[in-house]
Amino acid sequence: MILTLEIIIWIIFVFTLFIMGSYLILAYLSYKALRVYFTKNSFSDFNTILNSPLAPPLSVVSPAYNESKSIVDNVKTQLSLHYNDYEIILVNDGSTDDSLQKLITNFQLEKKDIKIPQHLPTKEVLGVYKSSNPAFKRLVVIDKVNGGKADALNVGINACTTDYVTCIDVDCVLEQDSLLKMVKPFLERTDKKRVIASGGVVRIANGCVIENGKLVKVEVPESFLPRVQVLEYIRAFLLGRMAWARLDGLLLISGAFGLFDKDIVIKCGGYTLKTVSEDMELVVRMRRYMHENKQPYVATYIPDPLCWTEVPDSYKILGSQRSRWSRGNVETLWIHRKIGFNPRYGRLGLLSYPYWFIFEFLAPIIESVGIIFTLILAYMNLINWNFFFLLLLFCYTFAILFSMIAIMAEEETFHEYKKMSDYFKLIYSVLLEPTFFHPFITFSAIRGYIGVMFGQKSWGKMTRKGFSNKKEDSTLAKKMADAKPKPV
Amino acid sequence: MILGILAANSVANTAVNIANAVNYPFAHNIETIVVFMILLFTYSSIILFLAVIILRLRKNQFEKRAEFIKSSLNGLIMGAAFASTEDELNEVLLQAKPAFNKYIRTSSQGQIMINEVINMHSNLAGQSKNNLSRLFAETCLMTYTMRNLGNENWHVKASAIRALAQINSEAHIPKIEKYALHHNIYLQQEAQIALVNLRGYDGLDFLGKLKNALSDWQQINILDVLRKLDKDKAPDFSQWLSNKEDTIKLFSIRLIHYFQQGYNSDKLEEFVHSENKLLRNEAIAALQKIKPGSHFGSSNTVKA
Repeated sequence: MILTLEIIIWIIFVFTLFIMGSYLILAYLSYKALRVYFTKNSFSDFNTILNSPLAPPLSVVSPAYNESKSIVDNVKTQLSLHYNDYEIILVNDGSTDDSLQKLITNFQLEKKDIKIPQHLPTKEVLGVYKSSNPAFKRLVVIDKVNGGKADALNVGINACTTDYVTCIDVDCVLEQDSLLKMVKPFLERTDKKRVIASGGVVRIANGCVIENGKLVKVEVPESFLPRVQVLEYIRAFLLGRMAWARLDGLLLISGAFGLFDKDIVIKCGGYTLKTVSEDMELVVRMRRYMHENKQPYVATYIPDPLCWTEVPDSYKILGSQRSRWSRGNVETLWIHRKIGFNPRYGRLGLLSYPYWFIFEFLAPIIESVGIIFTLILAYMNLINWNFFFLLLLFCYTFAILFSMIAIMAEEETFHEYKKMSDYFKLIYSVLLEPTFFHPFITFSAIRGYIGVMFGQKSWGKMTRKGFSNKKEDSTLAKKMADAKPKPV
Repeated sequence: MILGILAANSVANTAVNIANAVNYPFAHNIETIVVFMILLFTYSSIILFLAVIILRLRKNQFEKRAEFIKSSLNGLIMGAAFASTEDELNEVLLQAKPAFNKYIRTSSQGQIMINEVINMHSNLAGQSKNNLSRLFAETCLMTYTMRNLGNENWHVKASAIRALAQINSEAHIPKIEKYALHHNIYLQQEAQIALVNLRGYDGLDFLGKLKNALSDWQQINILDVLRKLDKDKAPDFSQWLSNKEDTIKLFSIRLIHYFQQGYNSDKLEEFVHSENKLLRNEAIAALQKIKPGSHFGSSNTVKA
């Protein structure tokens, strides 16, 4: 009995050391990648793209479901993006509110007899609307039968007329130069590698001042939960994704903001309806497709804060969101289990997938096993409490250190939180996060795994305050901040 | 994020076992190692905490100093830019030289003023532009730029090349030219843009010698400079259609398209059946524009 416990405990111990080591390695790689990015772009004039006849046309696809309260402002924000040649394809996914009517009225839309190609199978399209006002000529609204976010995105991809497609959450606030920055990686390759996707950093808009759909002031949120998520997002996006992009092992481009090579997206079959984590699944499938077809490729990542989103500020909603993310994680790993530990897929199979499997999927399970063993050992009176607290401190101080590295990275790069009081608020969250937030996230992940075992498919309910601080309800599936930081 | 407290429990249990029940060689030292690691993590965190504060203070200090330098030298810059006679300019330059030396003490401060003068330079025209070029050349700004050009870091070197191009320093063309085919792609790109900036269409000579691909990004940047030149003086861009590098052929087609060189339509027709989809599409689009009546299908490409 003791020997069995010991073996399990050793596994957990080694696992913990590995995960700590991997975080430090990722942080180091991110630091290097950020330096390269800043050096390279210190003299990039993105306005050159803005005025160039060589700039590729883009499509901005955003699905919307029951967004009536904010949809007009959101579309106006999209219409004001800085880019010369782009179309906005807004897919009304069978909203039951007056979203469509509001769009028709505000943008003088008229139903057109336009046939959308069926590159990707989707639910029925009920109508295509374009504006009679030249000021809104970029806007195309597609009304369709409700089919979920993935289905709506697929309709948008079918409808877009350009080679590159940006998929965004309709309620995200994009920086005005976000398209200019996102398209650059597609333009600057000089080797034979095809850029299949480019991901952007998503930052937290809670606490920020947003006027007319534009971010005018960045501040750390007042309430604890969003503030901890600020830390979490900085860690995940600035330290995690940046490193994975450098390793050419990026598995996830947030559904909130990503730019894709449409041709490859269509060849891969578009977004799948089989998982609640359709964004991660698509990236994995695109990469898998490129490997299987022996086409050199790269998936890139932009560290600039280009997209701002609202995150849950209650434990109930946060728990539901994280539970869904972990379900999506499991589903994606299962769908693409073939690539795991498979040398045929290079780094994807031997590095990214195993990392995701071991450190993202298994972590909550091992942590939970850990706590159960703690209880068992405590019951058996086998715990040396002095040493227990020493090791507790070991993990706690590491958590603090890693968060401080993330804050330092943010400070040295984008320095978004300029007020000293914001810095101290973040430090306060750094100190508290391991004690409250992390256990809760682990618990939510386990709930997600249990959900997978019982075949749970729903997206749950979500209540959001909205940028105007007015309460509004909607279905999580179509509305929730889906930025998915996926802890490093 | 880190496994955190829950994992810590597990690790703690492990340690208990190590300490109490197991005879692994390092078991007796683990407590010391853990204490050492805790101290290391704690001190590192404190150092980072303080480093952020120091960084903020230094940034503030730097910004204040930069503002002070800008406001101190702004009068001289404006004076030089809007000097109406040679004598007036010489007088301003006489005061500017010691003043610039006095206020600019570091290369980062120098870079701030380089950017300041360049920004103003790009917003002006005619004599004012020339005056600012002289101010740049005759003060320590040129010294800093030349020092940057000799710097080992490619990005510092590239920033110097950009500054020289933006200030129209034709005297430095030979120094810039040697980087046009440099192995560092970013340095190479900056030098190529600078050459087109300084030499106009003649600056495109490097295209014939280039061995690597010309990225779309670089094509956008070069075209951005070419668009400001007199279209009537544009050379025959078909000279690069026979280049071995497909991206250079592509750029040539795009230039022929943009500059509406209808006399090259026969040469473009050879690309209509090219195996390279990009070349094919670009040639078709160009032909549709420069040779009205030609029907080769549709494509989305350069918009002349």
